[in-house]
Amino acid sequence: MLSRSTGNFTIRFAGDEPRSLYKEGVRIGRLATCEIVLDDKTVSRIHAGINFLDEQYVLVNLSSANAITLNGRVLGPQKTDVLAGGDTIQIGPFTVDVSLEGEALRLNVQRQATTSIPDKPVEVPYTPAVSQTADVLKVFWEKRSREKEDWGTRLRPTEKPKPGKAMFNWRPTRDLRRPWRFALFVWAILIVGAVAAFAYLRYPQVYEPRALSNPHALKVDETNIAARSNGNSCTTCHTTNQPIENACIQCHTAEQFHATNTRAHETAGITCTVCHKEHRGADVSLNASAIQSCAQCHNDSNKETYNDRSVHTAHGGTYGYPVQNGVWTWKGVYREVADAIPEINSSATGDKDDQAKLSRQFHTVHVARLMVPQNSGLKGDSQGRVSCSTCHDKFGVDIDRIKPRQTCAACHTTQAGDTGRDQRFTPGAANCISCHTQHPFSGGRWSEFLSADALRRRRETIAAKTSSGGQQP
Amino acid sequence: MPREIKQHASVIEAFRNVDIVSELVEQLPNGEFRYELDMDIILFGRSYRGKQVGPYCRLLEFDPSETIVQEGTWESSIFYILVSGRLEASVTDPSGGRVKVGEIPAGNSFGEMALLSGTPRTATVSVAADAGPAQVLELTRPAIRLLRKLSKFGRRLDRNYRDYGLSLTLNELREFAGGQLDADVLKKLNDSARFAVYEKDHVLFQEGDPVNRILYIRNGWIQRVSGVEGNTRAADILLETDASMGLDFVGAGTCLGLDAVASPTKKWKYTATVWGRAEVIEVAVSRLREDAEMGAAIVPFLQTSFRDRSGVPEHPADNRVIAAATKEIETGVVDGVNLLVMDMAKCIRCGNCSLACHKVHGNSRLVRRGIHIERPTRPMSRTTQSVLVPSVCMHCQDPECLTGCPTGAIARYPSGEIDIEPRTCIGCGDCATQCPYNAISMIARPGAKNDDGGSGISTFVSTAFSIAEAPLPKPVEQTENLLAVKCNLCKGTGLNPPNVKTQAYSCEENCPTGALVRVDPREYFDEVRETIGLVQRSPTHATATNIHKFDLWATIWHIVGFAAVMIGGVLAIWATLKYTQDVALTPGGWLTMRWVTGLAGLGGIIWVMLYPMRKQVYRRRMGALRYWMLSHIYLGVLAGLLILVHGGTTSGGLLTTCLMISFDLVIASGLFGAACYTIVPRFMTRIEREPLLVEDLETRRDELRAELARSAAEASNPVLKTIIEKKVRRHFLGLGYLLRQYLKQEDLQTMLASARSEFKSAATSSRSDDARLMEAVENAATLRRVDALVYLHYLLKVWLAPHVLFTSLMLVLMVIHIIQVVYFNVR
Repeated sequence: MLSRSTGNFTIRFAGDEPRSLYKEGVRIGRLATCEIVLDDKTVSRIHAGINFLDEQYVLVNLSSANAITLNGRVLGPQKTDVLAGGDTIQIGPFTVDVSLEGEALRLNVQRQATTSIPDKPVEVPYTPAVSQTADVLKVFWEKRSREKEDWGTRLRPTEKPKPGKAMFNWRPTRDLRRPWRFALFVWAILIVGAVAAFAYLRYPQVYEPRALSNPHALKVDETNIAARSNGNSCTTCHTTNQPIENACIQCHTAEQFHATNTRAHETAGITCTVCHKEHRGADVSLNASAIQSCAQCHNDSNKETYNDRSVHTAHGGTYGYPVQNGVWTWKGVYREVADAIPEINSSATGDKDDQAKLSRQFHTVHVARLMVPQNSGLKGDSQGRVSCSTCHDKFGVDIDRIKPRQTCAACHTTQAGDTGRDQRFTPGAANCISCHTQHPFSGGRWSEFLSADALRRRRETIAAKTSSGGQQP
Repeated sequence: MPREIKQHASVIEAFRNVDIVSELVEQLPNGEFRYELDMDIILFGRSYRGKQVGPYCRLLEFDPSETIVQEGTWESSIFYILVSGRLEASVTDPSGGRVKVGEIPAGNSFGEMALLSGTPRTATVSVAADAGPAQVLELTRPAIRLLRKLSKFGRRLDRNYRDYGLSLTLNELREFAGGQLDADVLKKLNDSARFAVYEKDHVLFQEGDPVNRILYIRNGWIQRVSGVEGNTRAADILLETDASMGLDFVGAGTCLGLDAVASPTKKWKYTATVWGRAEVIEVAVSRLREDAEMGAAIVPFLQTSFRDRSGVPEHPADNRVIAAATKEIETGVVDGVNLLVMDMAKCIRCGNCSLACHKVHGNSRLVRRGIHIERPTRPMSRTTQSVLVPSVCMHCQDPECLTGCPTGAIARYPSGEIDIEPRTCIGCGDCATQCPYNAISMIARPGAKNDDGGSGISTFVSTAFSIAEAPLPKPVEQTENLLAVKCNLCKGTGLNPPNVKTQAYSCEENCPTGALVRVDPREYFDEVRETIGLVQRSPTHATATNIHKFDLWATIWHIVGFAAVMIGGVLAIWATLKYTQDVALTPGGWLTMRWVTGLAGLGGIIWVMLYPMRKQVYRRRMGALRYWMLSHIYLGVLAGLLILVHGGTTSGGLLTTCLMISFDLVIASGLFGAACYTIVPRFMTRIEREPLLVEDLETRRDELRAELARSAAEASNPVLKTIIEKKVRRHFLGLGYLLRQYLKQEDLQTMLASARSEFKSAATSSRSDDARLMEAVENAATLRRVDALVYLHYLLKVWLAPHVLFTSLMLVLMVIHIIQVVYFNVR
């Protein structure tokens, strides 16, 4: 048996008989000592070798100057490659066709190179022998040498992928991280839910802004206290650029209504919405609720101060007409009212003293303007309005001063604690604002009084009294 | 269905009866089998440490008329040997009928052509209807490697490959000629032509060699260089300085040397080198001259039908075109059948492609780094397109990964995708090693113990409440019990239910900008398309249009979206000015302009909010995300306009004010994001060149910082130490040098050169110190470049947080607002 490191080389020069050698390797070169002698200038003295290693035939380029071409590919100096059946080695003008028969290597040497015969085209064989075609599959099985990912650029990390078997193990990239965690939404819902639940228990009104009052909600085509109808708009009042009070005034500036406030209220910051509270229901009158709200501040238990003064229960608790201990305490009409109504402020004839002025104002307010309450037993003029004789039984020097003090109560019926008859906070009745007028141009209560017709009537009455020589009221 | 014959004796007998493989079951005089081990694996399979390998063979019996191989399918992991019976091969003729093209003799192999050359099946093979049942050996790809040792089989396989290759090519020519070539000529051509396969780097011929053959390139890539003596390997570098030399590439379907038939002393005017495994048909010029009739028929036909590249390659007008083509061919991306490309000027680095892959397949097979190609959008054009071919399978025409697989688990499946069958994969990792593109990775075999994660409710609760940054999936650490995974074109997932006409890929469907698309590289890359002639194309080639050049639906969206914003916005403002907000449009009606704008705006917001919902869907087709994104932006802007008109000059109370402010912030942050998405990638690509992941950059930043600190710490010379710590750090790590990165956008090499020259004067006397200083300078300058890129990456992400936050807030407030409005109107 041959040793496993001994190869079987069969060398056949074109036209010669083949000869076989059992050796570890053969040398190819110009020197006569080579096993395969190729006599040409372009061949090195010892040009190449074929060694039998690990049961394979390995071609080695031993020349430092000249190249070997294996299947058209240049094999550089000192480079090796494994031979397979069908390979063609080109050394100078010689070609060596390689074929493998079992473990035996056959080398067919011929002096032939396409380049050396310039003018005569060489025919390419069209019925190729197996030994010349085996490279087809060799190419197929050979790994095509492409570089793996190149780690060249300076911007890349220098750390290399893990060597060894784990090199191709799957690794995550940051791409696989979702930008938002699902838990964020879970927590957001929980927090919002908790806040909402707390608000429901502690501040339920947050959830109950009841309906808008009808005047604001519905289309009111004609009104004498507002410039236009709101028609259920939210943003008329709720704007970004101004406080709600300004929005109120923008609408509620009409020919017959001026949203002026009393000075005391204004400086104390008691604005529209403090008294007129919206979102209390469709049928809740903003006017009525405002009237009801007077005593919320004006009561003795309210310890807050306004304009550095405390507020108290009105009239020392004896609600009603301005009489205390039998003495008339009326201080006259509000300046705003007086300013607006010249007749109140100054009489044509002049007042002889303050008492006379108050008296005149009092009568200007009441006489010929207010309706006499029904079923009160008092009589008014032909139109049911308060006249001189409604209160006074006698006129002249000994004018009746007793009866008026009793007739006051017919309108100003209020008695503290007598809820059945409490008119203080009832709209349309003699209530706080009957006397403590808030909006002097109020279209409701004062419109008639301020109308041209009312002024004319009043003048006529005064003129009639003056001409009849009766005492001025 | 064929019947499998499982008796060992019958299988051995079948092998024994087939001459070309009978060697495998040859018994030595002492009764042992000569190839016992190979036989064992091929016929019966073996278990290696619990991992089953083989068998590679089944003996099947087919009934008459039964089809064994179906023409056109692209499965290529199986070939057959006919043991007994009569088989007919037929092809579809142009009218759709079947034409019998031949019979397969018993004892012959068939079906190996598809396996070897990576092409679809060229003919249907079925059992003859008028014959008895046929016995066929079905062999898988790994069997070839073992059977090749058998000398008869090896020779037969080789000859078959050649013969089939040649006749297939001639068939193609005949079909293409459509009657121009008569059968006689083709027969002669068949006899005189030689089918050869050349490996990469093979020199077909050198400039000055006599033209002794004409070549028809069937497959592969050939580089032609003129004006360079000797080695043409570095021709593309010489090209820049030598205007006299020419260089180009030729691909499949081209002919070389046709004009040599007329003149006998013709010499090649250029050197031709194989750049990718090439299948070439060669005909000796002498043959053509001898047989004038054939020459007269074939040469003019080839000259007119195919790209005749007989002339000298020209000096390219635009070197960048050649550089791009060089890279495309050299890296092999042109041989991808279904290539994933990313236009980096559009890529917003969101990583949704990778995530989409992860969602569909469990372990993402897409990593956003890989081969970077910079190509001019048109020759001589100043604009360049920066294309990234990421590390994901391109389903090579001729896949290297299949070569070594011992079980045949990785294979080309009938519809063309290369996939791994997990049941047969033994996790050896050979395919991953072979793949030149790192497109295959190893994961822990599912179902194994090391799967992380607890069970049931506790896991659900912990994930539902944990707001810490989501943990990344764990990297695979083990080296045993692995499974190879790779892209399978989303075949068999919910994205591609049976009977769909077009393919959908999760990555492509979920790219929000249309940066990512799967294409046929030979069509996508103009510079390569120019070089190929008649190209064989299978239905599995990616059919996507080049949306980087023209995306019809995106264009429509842009036009419609822009028009909608303009018209909708103007109309809303005009109508509101005309009718005012709160006056009913019809007498007595409730519909005011406030309602119209509010409801239309609400509709827009609802549509816009569908986008984040669409983003949660990865496993089903829901329309390409890029169109959703466009609708998101345009409708978002339109809704924003309408809501602004809806609010008017008075934005209401606290609630509506907050609502309006949050809404404005959503729109503003969104527009900022859209601007970032448009501008930043273009910017980033220009200074980055080769795209990298942000974690790569961050790692590099840490490395450079450490290096910089080390060079300062290790400086023995106190002067040097001061220079590095004070001057170098202050100069390069300042704001000015950061801005320079964005403004100058210079090449990294140029930047480093100028950085070095800035510190030339500061050099000290000692040479080693100089080297250290320059190293520090380069590191500091590079660090700033890395910083500049990292900040751009952050910019692409950072706007999203406020956008989402304000959106959440806006939505909550909007719901309250709607409830209020409805409540006050319904009461």
